[in-house]
Amino acid sequence: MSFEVHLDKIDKVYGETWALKGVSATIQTGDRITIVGHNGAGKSTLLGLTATLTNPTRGTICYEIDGTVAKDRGQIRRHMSMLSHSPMLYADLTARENLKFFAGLYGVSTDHHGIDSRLEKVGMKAAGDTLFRACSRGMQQRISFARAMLGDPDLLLLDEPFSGLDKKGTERLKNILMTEYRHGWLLVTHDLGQGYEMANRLWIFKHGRLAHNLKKSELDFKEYVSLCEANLPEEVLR
Amino acid sequence: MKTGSLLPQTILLVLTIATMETALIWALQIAPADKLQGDVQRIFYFHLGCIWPGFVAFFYVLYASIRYLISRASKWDRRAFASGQVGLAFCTMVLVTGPIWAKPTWGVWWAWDARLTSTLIMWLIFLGYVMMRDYIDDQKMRERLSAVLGIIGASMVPFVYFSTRWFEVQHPKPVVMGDAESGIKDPNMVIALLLALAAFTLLYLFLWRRGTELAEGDAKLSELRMRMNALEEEA
Amino acid sequence: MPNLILLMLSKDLRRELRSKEVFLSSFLFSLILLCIFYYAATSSSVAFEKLPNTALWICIAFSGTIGLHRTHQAELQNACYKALMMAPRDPGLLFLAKFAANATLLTIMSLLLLPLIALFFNLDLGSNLLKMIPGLVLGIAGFVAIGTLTVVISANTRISDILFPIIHLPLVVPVLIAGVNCTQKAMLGEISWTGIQILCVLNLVFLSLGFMTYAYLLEE
Repeated sequence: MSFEVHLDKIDKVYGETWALKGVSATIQTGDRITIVGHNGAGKSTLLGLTATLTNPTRGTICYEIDGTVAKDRGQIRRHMSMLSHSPMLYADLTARENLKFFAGLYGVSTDHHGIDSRLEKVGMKAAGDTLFRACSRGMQQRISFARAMLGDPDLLLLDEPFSGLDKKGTERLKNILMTEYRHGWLLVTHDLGQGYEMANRLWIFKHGRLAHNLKKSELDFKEYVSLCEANLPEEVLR
Repeated sequence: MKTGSLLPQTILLVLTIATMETALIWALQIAPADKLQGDVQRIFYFHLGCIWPGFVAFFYVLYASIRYLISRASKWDRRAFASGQVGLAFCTMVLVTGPIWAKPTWGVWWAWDARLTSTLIMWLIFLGYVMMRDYIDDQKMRERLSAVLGIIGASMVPFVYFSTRWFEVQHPKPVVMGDAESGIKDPNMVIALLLALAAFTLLYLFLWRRGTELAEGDAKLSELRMRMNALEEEA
Repeated sequence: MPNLILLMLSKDLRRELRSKEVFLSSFLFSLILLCIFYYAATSSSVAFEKLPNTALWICIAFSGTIGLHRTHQAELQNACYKALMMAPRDPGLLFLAKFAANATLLTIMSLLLLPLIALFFNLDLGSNLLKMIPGLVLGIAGFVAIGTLTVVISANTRISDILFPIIHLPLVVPVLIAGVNCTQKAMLGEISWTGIQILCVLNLVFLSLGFMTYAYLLEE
């Protein structure tokens, strides 16, 4: 299964400010792309655009599934899912009820055991019947990860998925991503080390422009950090 | 573009003023006074003259909003919005002239008459439509949501009229109706009415065109400002 | 399609049973409204017993607005609505599912309200209760059909809590007028067929409007 996204001269304007300016790039099957950029540099906007949640002000986004151009939003959405810092799960439902609802909504057929095995994968089987609001931040994010994986997506859109997680929780989630999941993703993060480690492609945004689009093999971590420092203001790098 | 649009603009303005003047003369001087209501009835020409372009305006909102959702071209949003604004202004005039006419004829300023009530509700619907735009920052979102609300709002207009009338049947009408139907018999009254209708339709067209041009200017200005922001940011 | 509706319905009912959001915001608010209504009516020497229908629809209009706003806020919490927007489903069907869930909640709320109104207004509902149901249910359905759209529209503005009633209530005036008439007649033991026909037409129009336009609301 191949799933490609072609971005062609994308502009996105909110009010009188530019979120994205002339962004052209291709996301190929299995690309694991880390996106860094300063606050308001249009990183989240890019994920929203890719997810077909928003339309670009100018420019086109083209999706290719198995070599044919796909136009139907429903069909395109089936291949992607999003995991962000907000969990996108109902606080008043249990983890199991949440997953069941979204499995139904996304048209994934799962019985009781299917949900259980998905919860087990993220180490949350024991907490399956706890109300979501009663779960800790780390647990919530892991359950949210299980939701994102429901449709077995070809492209994950990760918007600061580790924010608010402790070190252990981050490691665990990262581990699942690196070992269990076989497809590509777009990862928006502030953590350069983590971003470099997880990626095979690196994007650096500056003022809404895609300033650098590099393969990981083209530069080592030190070069990456100095490139980021040259492009980003200090407060972003912490 | 400027020179091209100036001539029809001027013609339209001259035509509007000329028709408006003739309508005034006909309504106030030539048409005879109503037998029952006397001179007060003359406000009817302007009352009805306003509601007609009000209707046209709101149906144009419906049309332009549908066109916008199909094409996603901002010009249809600007046209719909200009029409909504002008329609709201005409609705306001109906709501002002209504009570002025009602006081001497019915003895009260407001009588929950179906015409007035439905105009009030229509006014509220389109006030919401015009107001909402100020509270959405993203342009594309503003256009899209306005178009959806415009379609719902304008589709509701016939139902508002229909339901207020249906409801009125259940209750006695104000006793002293002295309705216009009794009066419009003289041919000069008909001419005055037609002239008033024509004058206000022309006024609607004129204002709508100006409104659209204003919105286009606004859009250009904000585009320029946006580019300037972008340049400043990069510098 | 029935699956999707059942799914949404069971989700929203379960959430409601746990959080009691709509119950608290709508039902208890209606109770307070009824108290105010009593004092407002009696202090202006209006025969209070003659106004059960008025009170019923005032409660539905106001507490229904609050309830709809509340349920949508719950969808926005944790960005759940975003996940809903991304669902690979026909937006029209999503609208119908959301409408069904909202309408069920509000109908249950108003059915809970009926005994209270009967109690407060010394109304003998028993014989006329069945006659009231069509007007009540159809009226609420129309109210919710428009509300399901306007609540999403206003949620995207900076002042959603204020703007929602402002744009929602004028649009539902035809439904309220027809609904008020239907239940008023029902309380007198008659059935207003014209009213029911009008409500059916209105619902048909609202639901098709929602079915066609909801896609444009599922964007950011």
